[in-house]
Amino acid sequence: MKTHLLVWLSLMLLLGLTVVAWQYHLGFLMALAIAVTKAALVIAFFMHLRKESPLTKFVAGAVLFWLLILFGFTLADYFSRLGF
Amino acid sequence: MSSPPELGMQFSDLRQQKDAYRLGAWVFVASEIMLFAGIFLVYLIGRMTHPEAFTEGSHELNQFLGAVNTAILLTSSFSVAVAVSKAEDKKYRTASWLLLLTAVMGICFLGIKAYEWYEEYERARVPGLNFTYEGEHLPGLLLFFWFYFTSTALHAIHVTIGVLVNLWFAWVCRYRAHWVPDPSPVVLSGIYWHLVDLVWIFLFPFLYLVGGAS
Repeated sequence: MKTHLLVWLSLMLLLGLTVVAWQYHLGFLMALAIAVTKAALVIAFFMHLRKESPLTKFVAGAVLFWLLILFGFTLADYFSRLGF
Repeated sequence: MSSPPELGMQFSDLRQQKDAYRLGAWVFVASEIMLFAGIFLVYLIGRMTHPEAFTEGSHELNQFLGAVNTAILLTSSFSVAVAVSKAEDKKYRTASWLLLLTAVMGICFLGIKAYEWYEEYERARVPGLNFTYEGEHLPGLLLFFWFYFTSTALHAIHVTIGVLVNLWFAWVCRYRAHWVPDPSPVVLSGIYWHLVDLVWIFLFPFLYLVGGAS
C-alpha cells in the first residue's frame, strides 16, 4: 500500500513534469524519457514484474528486444536513405 | 498427499500455478505492446516527415482534458494495484469496492474522451467522416488526425474491455468470492488494466504535447 502510494505520487509528479517540459519547449526526447520512466514505474511496481519468475521476466525482456528490432532497423533505414 | 482446493489439477503445486498464470498474462501483454508499437512507429515516421503539420494538429487538441484523463488513468492504475494486493490477502470486500472505483474511473475517462471526439467532430477534423481543412499542412494534418483517431479508438476499446473485466471481478469478489480461492484471475485483470494505462502514458505526450506550447 505504501509503495503503491509512493509510486502513484511519482507518476502524478512526472505527469506534471511532462506538461511543464512541453510549456518550456524541451522537445520530443524529454517527453519520451519521462514516458519511459512512468512506464518503468508501472511495470516494476504496479504490474509486479520485479517479483515474477525468471521466465516471465524473459518474456518481458523479449518484448524490449523486438521493439529494438522494429524501431532500430526502420529508423536506420529512414535516417540513412532520406537524410533526416 | 492432499492438495489445496485452489490448485488446478494440471499443476503440481501452487507456485507453478501462480507462475503459469502470470507467464500467460505477460505473453498476452507482449503481443499487445507489439500491436501498439507498430502504430507508434507509423506515428514516428509521420511526425519526422511532417513536423509542422503534427505540431499544428497537436495544438488543436484539448491539452487540459488530455492531462486530466492521464491523471484519471494513473489513479485508476493505483486503485487496481491496491485492489489486487487486497485480493491476494483474501480481503475480497475491500478489493471489490476498489475494482468498482477503478471501473468508474475508466468510465469517466471514456466520457471525457468522447467529449473530445465531439469537439474534433465539430471542428471538422474526423478523417473519412467530415475532415475539411484549407491550410498549408494538408497531407500531414490529415495523417495526424488519422493517427489520433485510430490510436485513441483502439485504446478506448481496450479501456471498455478493461471496465467490463473490472466490473465482473468487482461482482465476483463481492458475491462469489469462493470462485477465486486463488486470487490470480484478479491479478491478471489488474495486469491488463495496467497495460491500458501503459499505452496511454505514451499516447498522451505523442498526441497532445507536440512541438511545445504555442
